[in-house]
Amino acid sequence: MKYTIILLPLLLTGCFKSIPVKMSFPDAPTEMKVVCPDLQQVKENAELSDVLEVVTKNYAQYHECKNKVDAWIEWHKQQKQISDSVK
Amino acid sequence: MMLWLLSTWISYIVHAALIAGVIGTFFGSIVARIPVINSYGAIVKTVALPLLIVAIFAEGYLFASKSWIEEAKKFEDKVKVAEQKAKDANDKLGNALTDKNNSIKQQQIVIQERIKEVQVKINAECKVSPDVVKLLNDAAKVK
Repeated sequence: MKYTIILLPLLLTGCFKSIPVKMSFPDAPTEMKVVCPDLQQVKENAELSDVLEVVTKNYAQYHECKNKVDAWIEWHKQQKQISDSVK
Repeated sequence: MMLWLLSTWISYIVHAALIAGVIGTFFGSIVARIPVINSYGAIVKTVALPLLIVAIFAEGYLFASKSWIEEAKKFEDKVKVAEQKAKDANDKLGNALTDKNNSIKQQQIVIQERIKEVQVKINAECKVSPDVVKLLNDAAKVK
C-alpha cells in the first residue's frame, strides 16, 4: 500500500497536457510581396524631356514603394491585434 | 489517439478496471489474512494492485483528455475566427494597395502625356549637360 502512496503523484502525470493548437502564420497580400525595383537611369545624351520622363517615373516608383511600406506597417499592426486577441 | 481513448468502450473498460482494482485490492487484503486461503488473497492482491494503479492513471488521463479536448476546441474556434479575420484584413489591404498603385499609374500616364506635349518646346529651350545626366544617375545608384 505504501508503494501505492508513492506512486500516486506519478499517476497525476496522466492529468497534465498542453494544447498543441497553433495559429498559422498569416500570409501577406501578393501585391505587398513584390520587391521595389531600382531607380531608372537617364541614358547618355538625353534631352530634357528624357530626363523629365525618367525623374517622374522614379517619383511614381517612390510613391508605389511608399504605399507598399505603409501597407506593411498597417499589415503588421492589424495582424498583431488579431494574433493578440487569440491568446 | 485522443479520440480513440475517449471512445465510450475504452471509458467503460477503464471504469471496470478501476472497480475491479479497488475490489480486488480490498478483498485480496482481507483474504490474505485468513489462514487457509491466504495464498489466494496474495495472488488477487498481486493482480489487483497494478490494475488499480494503471486504472487510476487511465482515469486521470481520460478526465484530462476530455477537458483538454474541450479547451482545444475552444482554442481552435478562436484560431479559426482569427485566421478568417487575418484573411479579410489581407484582402482589404491588398485591394487598397492595388487601388493606390493604379491611381499612381494613371497619374503617371497623364504626366507622360503632358511631357510629350511640351517636349519639343522644352528640348529647344534647354540643353542638358552630360554632367547633369551623370549626377542624376549617380544619385539614383545604390552604393
